[in-house]
Amino acid sequence: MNPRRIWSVFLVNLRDFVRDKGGLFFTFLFPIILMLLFGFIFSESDNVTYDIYLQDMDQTPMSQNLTVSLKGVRAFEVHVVGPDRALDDLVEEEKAGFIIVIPEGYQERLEENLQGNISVPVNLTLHMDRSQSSSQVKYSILASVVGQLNKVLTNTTDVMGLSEGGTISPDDFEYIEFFIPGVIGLSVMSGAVFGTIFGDTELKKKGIFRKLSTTPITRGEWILSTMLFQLFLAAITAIVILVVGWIVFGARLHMNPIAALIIIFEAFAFTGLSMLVVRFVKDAQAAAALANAITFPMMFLSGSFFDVEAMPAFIQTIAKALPLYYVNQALREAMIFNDTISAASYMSVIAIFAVIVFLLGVKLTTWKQD
Amino acid sequence: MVGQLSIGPQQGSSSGSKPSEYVIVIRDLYKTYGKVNAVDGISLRIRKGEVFAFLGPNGAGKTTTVEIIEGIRTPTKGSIQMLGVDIGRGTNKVKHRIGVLPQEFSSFDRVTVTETISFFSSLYGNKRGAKELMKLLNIEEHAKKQYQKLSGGLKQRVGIAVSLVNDPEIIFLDEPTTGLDPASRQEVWEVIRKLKARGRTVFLTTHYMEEAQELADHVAIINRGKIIAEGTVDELIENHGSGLVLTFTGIDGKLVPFLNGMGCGQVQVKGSQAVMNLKNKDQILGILELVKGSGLSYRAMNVRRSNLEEVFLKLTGKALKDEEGRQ
Ligand SMILES: Nc1ncnc2c1ncn2[C@@H]1O[C@H](COP(=O)(O)OP(=O)(O)O)[C@@H](O)[C@H]1O
Ligand SMILES: [Mg+2]
Repeated sequence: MNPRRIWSVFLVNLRDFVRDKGGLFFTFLFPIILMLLFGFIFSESDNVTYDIYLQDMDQTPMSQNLTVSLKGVRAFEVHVVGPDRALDDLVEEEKAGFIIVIPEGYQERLEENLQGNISVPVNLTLHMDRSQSSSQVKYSILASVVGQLNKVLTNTTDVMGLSEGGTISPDDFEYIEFFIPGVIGLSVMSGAVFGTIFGDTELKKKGIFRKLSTTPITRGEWILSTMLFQLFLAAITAIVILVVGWIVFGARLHMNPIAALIIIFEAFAFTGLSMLVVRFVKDAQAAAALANAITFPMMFLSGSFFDVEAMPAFIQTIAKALPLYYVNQALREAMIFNDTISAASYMSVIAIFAVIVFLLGVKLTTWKQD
Repeated sequence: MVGQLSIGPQQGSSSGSKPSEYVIVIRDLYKTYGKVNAVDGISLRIRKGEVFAFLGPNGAGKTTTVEIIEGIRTPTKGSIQMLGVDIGRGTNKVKHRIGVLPQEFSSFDRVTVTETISFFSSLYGNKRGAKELMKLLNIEEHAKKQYQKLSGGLKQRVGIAVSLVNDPEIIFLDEPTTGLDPASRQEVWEVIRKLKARGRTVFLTTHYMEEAQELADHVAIINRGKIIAEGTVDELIENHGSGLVLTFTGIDGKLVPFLNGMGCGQVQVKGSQAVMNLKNKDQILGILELVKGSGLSYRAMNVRRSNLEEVFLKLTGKALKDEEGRQ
């Protein structure tokens, strides 16, 4: 192994890569887009808000008070409409499915009731679209708000309550924090697989491999250099994802040496694997088919987006046969739970895999033609 | 090694040379792909300092042969000695002494000319600076251009520059001018002449007769995996050519029967041309005298030596070149 030659190959790959706009786009922008897309879709569903419409016909301090109280309910997105607005209009134009009307004389009657001579409670009028499943949820929330208000206003004391007895997951984390290690694992894998398979196919087509085979560089040097180059791209990809995750979603993940090590082994493993299979590829079309065939099943079956534990048993069995599963598990143990021991045990699978493909690569890959 | 060398058949102009002058000795080389005998029993000796042209049509087996010598492919049978080393066990010992331009080679798209040369140079441990090579190939003004932005001729010259980074003793150029325009072809020829002037051995493959005729000290014509003729250009034309070729253009209808009547050989008619193959120049002078006396008209006439094209045609019954090769 000659470090100078390894460095030269690294440098020439780097130059060719950074001057390629398309390559840059796919390597770095793709993971970001993926993360933004999934990040927004799923982190929103964690704290859902419901649209409700509120029409205040009373316009008194007490009705204002109620409005403010409803606005304070986190689950409600309150749209206040003026007293002149026709309700039919609201349904037509704004597709309002849940309208609360504070009736005229609300304050007056409420005060009367509070003075002790309760005859009938002041009713808020509800107009709701029962065909919408969310209406029931909105109704329940509203009912509990009203109940709460009644208690406060009439000064009754609770005989029963709820208290938080601690969270169920060992470390409180949000979906995005679960998702980011998955995006890193996925992006590093597809970067390495696509980069290596397309790169090698191109070099083969250009005659560069035939040329290299007549120079003193060895296959081991070439493979190592390509692995290092892919690792370099993987490192940048991971950093970009983490920074975007932190800035956009405020994701807090543990950065530890074991996480870095997992990414190193992952980049090596998938680059090595790709170099092994790329020799069966004749042209760019076949290269694309092969790269997709490797990455596609792993993308969905290795728990990049969802926890494998939540999937059917047979999928779990398949997942455990896929290298990316161990990357995802290891990265989550390291980055979410900061559990080095657990991460290392998952990582050992991918590390062994990386060593095997490197050795097989040195032994089996050849620049020679038949 | 000397003992082994004397076993092989003596070929062409190589007779009488000292064995130590041979830099490549190929004996009984075969390469089979399924049912195709791509190389079908080739023996060849290349002398130090010569420009050797391996001339043959597409699919003849040139690339297969040259890539076996370079160590890119493994032969089915046969032995090769290069620079005194038996390469049956790999070319590692001679890699730093040879330079290779593979057929249809193209380099990293977005890497500049200087960077490309430096990269390949570094693989050998930097024997030669990029500047000197760019000067030799006359590509200095393109030093900072990316490879993909270069014209075909320039790309090919960069390819040759890359094959020279280790200052090799033998340079293999596989069809270095295929697909180039005439001006670019001249540039490449100029480089090959410079290499010869510097005492380098050049192993050139081509399907252009003109190229072999223009550059080669030693030509082997290959067809269907076999060498069908070998020697210097002069020897080949002398031994297998059709002597001198006399051509009349814009002929009178009566000229052909008149020429046929002289009994100096068959006249071939190609459109408005009449072509005669003749043995010596006195015959030609005689014919011209008679034609002048007859008063028959023609627009122009010319006399030339037979060429490798005709040698190939005579040996195989097929034309060597494809249309792309015509200038
Ligand atoms: N890798 C290969 N597999 C199968 N056939 C091949 C291969 N390489 C060359 N051939 C066949 O061998 C013959 C010689 O090819 P080649 O050496 O490329 O000819 P040339 O370089 O003279 O054009 C052709 O018939 C070609 O189809
Ligand atoms: Mg060829």
